[in-house]
Amino acid sequence: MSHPAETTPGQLVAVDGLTLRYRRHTALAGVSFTAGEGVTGLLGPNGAGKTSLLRILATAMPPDSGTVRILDTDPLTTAGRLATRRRMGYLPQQPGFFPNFTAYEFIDYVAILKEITDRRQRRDETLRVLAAVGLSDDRGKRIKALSGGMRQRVALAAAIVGDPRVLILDEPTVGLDPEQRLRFRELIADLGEGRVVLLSTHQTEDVSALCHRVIVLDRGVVRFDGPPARLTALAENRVWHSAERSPQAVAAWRTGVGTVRNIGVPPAAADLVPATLEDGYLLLLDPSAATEVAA
Amino acid sequence: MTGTSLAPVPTSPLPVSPRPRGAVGALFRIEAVRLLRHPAVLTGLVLYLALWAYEWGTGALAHRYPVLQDEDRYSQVPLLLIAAGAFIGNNLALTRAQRSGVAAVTDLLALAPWRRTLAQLLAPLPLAILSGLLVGARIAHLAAAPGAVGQPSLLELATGPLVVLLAGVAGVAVGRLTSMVAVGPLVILGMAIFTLVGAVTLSRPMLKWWGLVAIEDEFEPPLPADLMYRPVASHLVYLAACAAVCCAVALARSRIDRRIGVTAVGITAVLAVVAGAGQSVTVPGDVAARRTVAEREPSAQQTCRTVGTVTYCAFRDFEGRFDQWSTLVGGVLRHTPPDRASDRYVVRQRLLFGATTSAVSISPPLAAWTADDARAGTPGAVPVGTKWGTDQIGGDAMLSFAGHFAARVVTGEPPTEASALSVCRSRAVLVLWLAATATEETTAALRSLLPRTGGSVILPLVDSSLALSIGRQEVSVVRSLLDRPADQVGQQVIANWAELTRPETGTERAASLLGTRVQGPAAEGARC
Repeated sequence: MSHPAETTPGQLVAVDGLTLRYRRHTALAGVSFTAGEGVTGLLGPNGAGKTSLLRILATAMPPDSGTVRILDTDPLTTAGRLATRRRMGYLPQQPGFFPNFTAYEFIDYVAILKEITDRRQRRDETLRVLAAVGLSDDRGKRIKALSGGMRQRVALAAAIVGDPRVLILDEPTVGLDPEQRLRFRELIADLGEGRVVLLSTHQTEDVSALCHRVIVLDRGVVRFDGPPARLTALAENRVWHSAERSPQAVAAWRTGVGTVRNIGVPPAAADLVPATLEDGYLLLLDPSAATEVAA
Repeated sequence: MTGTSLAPVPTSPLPVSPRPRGAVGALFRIEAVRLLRHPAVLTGLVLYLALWAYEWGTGALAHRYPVLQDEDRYSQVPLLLIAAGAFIGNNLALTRAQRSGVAAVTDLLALAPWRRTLAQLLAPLPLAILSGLLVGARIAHLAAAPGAVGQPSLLELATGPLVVLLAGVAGVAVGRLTSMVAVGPLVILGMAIFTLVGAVTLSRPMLKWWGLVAIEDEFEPPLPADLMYRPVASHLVYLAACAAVCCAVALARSRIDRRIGVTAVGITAVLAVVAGAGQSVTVPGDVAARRTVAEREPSAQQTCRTVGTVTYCAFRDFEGRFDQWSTLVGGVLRHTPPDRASDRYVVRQRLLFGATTSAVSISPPLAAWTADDARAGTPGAVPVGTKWGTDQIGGDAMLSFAGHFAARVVTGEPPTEASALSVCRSRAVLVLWLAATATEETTAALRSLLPRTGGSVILPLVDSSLALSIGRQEVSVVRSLLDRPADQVGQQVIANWAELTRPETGTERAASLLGTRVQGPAAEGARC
């Protein structure tokens, strides 16, 4: 039985014992965590429950059980849901667009749905968020004429209209080229100042670069909750390079320079190399390594 | 983001003061403007204006002599083009979020779905107002035409814009039921078929007012406004009730309280059915009684004006016809001897209920007319109908009236079966020539009529079965006379008036007196 989630000072989002099932599939199996200001990363393989968790937090659907508190309100009640929506921005995994709207018109439209009714205020806010995502010069272009990266920025601009205290970003960097991703990281890092940003991603580089904290979800269970450095530390002294795949490795892949990067229990005299967040993440998710890591 | 530098994210200046009502207003403004700019609406507007221009260019729209209490309802059908645009535009606007996947975000924003639906329901209002302005411009255009008579009904004029509004809210209701794009055009097709079938299925008049507009009266002769019967007020209530049903359905499907939604849909649906049934298709007894009086004893409902030696009497809405009748009568009398031209004549407007252009079978109540004329002190009045114009129907009516007035002058008798039969041979030539040369419009009317009649001419008395029948030989003489200057022929007419007006004078003799020849044999079975 879960206890009602409560936020303490500095903890603006609190989740306790969330469960969710889709028929026979368990998407979330008692997820609990808290989050404060800054960027919190959600890592996990496909089907880990990240999107389900974010959709519950974004008030898109209720959980089967468990409690949620966001900014001291309960989004699972009707009144709390509205209060939460008024202070939240959400960028879904596959944001849609009105292709015939210009970027400005689309953001203006979203601003109205966020109840920004004063015409001048709405105009200022629309220009502000478009400037924030670097689309000031392209605001008059129809969305169907924008590139994929620019559309993603439009979606982010829509999410940050109204300066929400809580920002939920579901894989915002998918499909972006490296430069765009870099710029997006800068932007998200900026957004993390003074706000709660929950960032779901497959990209461990994004987590390394952006997050002060990372939560690893796997099969609906929180497998890790802590600073990225601690996740990296899980793989310290467990990564080595060799000419061929080592039989002791739980994960191994050939690198661009021809050597094989192994993760696991290194053999004697292994050529140890510094671990990365990805190494720690892979080690964490490998069932055979899980016991060792836990130990 | 190549080449683009990102600005630091400044703090929003927004106060935290949610104003959902204001958001509905803001969303309404945006959606209303987008609807006005929607290609479907623009197409409807362009087609409406193009149709207007086409009607004007081809003469289908009355250039002269429009009857405004009829023209008001003719404005409704073209407006269906705009209504279709309103339906499609608003339907696509409502389903835009679902179709484009934006709903995943917008459904989670603060403004409640029912408020968004409300804004969308209001969005067609400016378009309906614009439609009203177009209807107003069209009727003003017609009212400014020479010879315009009558008074348009505001309720008839309001019907078209209300249909546009109804179509817009129906688009929202359908959009709330399904986001499938194909459904919209199918609904439009269904409504168009229902409206048109209802309008043209005269044998089932119950249907006609259940559609969007009722248009079946277009071929009936114009009537004075107080003798018309169209349950337009009830129809407006019905349309408003239908719009209410659409609003209720749309809101009920917008995540409002289920009980409230179902109750609203139920109440408005009952209202719509009651209002629909309230559109009685039977002419009320008092209107029927007034019509009978107007048909048989019209003098009490008419006003008269004397111009020269001719007195004209018309129903109140048609007093504007006096000048046109006077011009035509003057044209007939111009080529008659002074003693005939200075005789006293009376022209009285007549109505024949049930007469249509396609079925000339109504016998005129001549005895009642004679008695009424005697009571009014205007014996021997020449009847004139309410049709008048430069189009085919109006032109035929003008020519018929000119013919019957000319027959009155030539025979010296008011229109009767006997006097009509006496118009043959020379008299027929004279009557038709006087009628045809009365005005340029009657000349054009005869030229327009001849290709449709195979050479002979029948001039019915106010759409009745009593008609002047003029055979091919006589018509051929008139045709050749029309190729000569009217004044020249007119001098010969006046000089030979006595012989030309004798019943026994033959067609060949008349042609000879007027300096022309008969072409072709007499038509078989020609009377006289």
